[in-house]
Amino acid sequence: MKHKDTLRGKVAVIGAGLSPVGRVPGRSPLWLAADAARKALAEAGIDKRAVDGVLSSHAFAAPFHRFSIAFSEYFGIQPTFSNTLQVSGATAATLFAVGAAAVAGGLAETVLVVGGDSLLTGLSPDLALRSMTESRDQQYEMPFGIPVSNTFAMTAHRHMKEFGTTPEQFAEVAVVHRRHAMRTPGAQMTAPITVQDVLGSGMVTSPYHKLDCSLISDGAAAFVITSAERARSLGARKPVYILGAGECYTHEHIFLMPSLTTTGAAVSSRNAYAMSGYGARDMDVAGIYDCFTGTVIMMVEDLGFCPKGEGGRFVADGQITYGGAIPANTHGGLLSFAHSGMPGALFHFHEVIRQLRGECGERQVTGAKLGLVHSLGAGFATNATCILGTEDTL
Amino acid sequence: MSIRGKACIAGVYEHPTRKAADKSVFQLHAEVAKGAPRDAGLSMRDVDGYVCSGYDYYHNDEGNYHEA
Amino acid sequence: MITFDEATKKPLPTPDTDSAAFWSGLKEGKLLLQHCLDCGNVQYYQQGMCRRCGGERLEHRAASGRGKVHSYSVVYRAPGPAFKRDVPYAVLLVELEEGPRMISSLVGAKPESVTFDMPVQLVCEKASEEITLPRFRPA
Repeated sequence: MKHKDTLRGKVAVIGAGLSPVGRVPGRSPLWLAADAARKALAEAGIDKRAVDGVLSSHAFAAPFHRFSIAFSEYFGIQPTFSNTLQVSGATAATLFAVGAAAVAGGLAETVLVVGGDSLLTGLSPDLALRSMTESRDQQYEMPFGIPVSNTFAMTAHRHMKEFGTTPEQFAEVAVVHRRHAMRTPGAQMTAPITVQDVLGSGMVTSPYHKLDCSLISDGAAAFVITSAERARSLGARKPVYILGAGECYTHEHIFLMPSLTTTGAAVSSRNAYAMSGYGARDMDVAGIYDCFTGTVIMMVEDLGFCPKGEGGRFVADGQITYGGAIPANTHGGLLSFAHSGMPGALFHFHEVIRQLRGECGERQVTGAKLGLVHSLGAGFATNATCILGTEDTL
Repeated sequence: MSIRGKACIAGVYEHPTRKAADKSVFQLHAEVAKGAPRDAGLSMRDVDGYVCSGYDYYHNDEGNYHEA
Repeated sequence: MITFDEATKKPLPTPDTDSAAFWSGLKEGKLLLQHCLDCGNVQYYQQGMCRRCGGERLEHRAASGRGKVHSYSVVYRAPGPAFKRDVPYAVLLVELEEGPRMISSLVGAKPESVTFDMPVQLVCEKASEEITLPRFRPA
């Protein structure tokens, strides 16, 4: 079979920006997004008039039908390519893939990837109620009182049954993330926690305790992506290249998930690795969607960092932190840095990009050149993986 | 770089129904989605991408659970 | 808009053209599964075509009502005000004898008593004049 003409190395990230995150009262999702965007543009050294493409996620607290269009108006630009993508938590990685495809296909030259939301301080009572009652299918799921957390909990529970994964191993994920967040300026949660703290934090939906669950936050992130040629002609400092991208969508309802313990991430990552020409063993750092602790354990398996069923032991052996096989979520992730909904997964991109540029100070993973970011959502219905690398990895 | 001439429309299908009180929205999507590959002489197994228009149903469903 | 009062009511399904037969079956105490006459696929939930072969010759047949718990999660923190009175309750992912899986919840036993692969039996529980919900009890 003829190889597909791929995106590998054709597009680079030349700027990244973060708004304040955590509890940011009095700032709308649009302001947060615009704040992140101006920082990303400043870092890229380009004016907002040079942006001809805008891709965004939706914002729950600013329920525009076309957030990317509302954002462009707010930011004072009139792009010639734009869309608002929605595949739940996996949206972040698809924003990079679609943005790269648009640049590689000549639909746009410079794309701003942006997402912002204020779930912690920005939800009206109406939206807060809707967020609880409309999150799952109204016919076959919601009448039984199943929050989305419950769908993830059932996958983790089955993982315990099939592979002997323990609550202590889940808790260790939270502990590692907190330790990472303690070294990240601006992180929402920075008080140290222990495994016992997690196990004693009160059950939310078994097997998950409160501290097994991610945060509720405000915040935004934005990125400037452009062609590799243009990155060079602009003299961009340390561009980070998109080397591979893959997605996989296996079901909508949790009861139609083909396997509760092997997810679409196995396929999305395989495709992303294949495009990049690298494998799991080559990755120096990772950003892994951590909406729940068990999610990370399942993902280190499906992303190929350890064999199926050994994720719990892998985490307990210190393999997802400094000195381990794959330092992951060095910013603290959704569990401890911040989780403002769909933009939450953009924070993983921000951290991995900073790591690849060697800008993480005391959090730096020495010599990081290759990074993986995996985002997922809706009870593992949606999975998307990106492989990023420095100039040396092209 | 451009997409000029790189992709082609291999199959099309327009649903003949205009008033579909007896069909769910998903059924309508499914029926047209079946028609286009058939027109192209392909099967569903040849399809690895799907994009659709429709109402964007956005919500917070990503497991955020505790404020602090 | 949704008001707090509305949010305290449990969400009940609004049957659509795909699912009307399913919900009326439950009112008569039957959990209907769709059997594809073209490829033999058995599916839950109800829709206008077979998810495996795309065929539209689908026949409703009542399930035996027997199944086992493939996975579960006991909810201690309710998803919204409507379920506050019910916690803790066990949400079940039931694997039916006929193959398909479905989401339901446990009745007739303490939520903490659920175990993996536990045999369960269908209980049709009337929720309103129009809607009867399929729940499960230990078999």
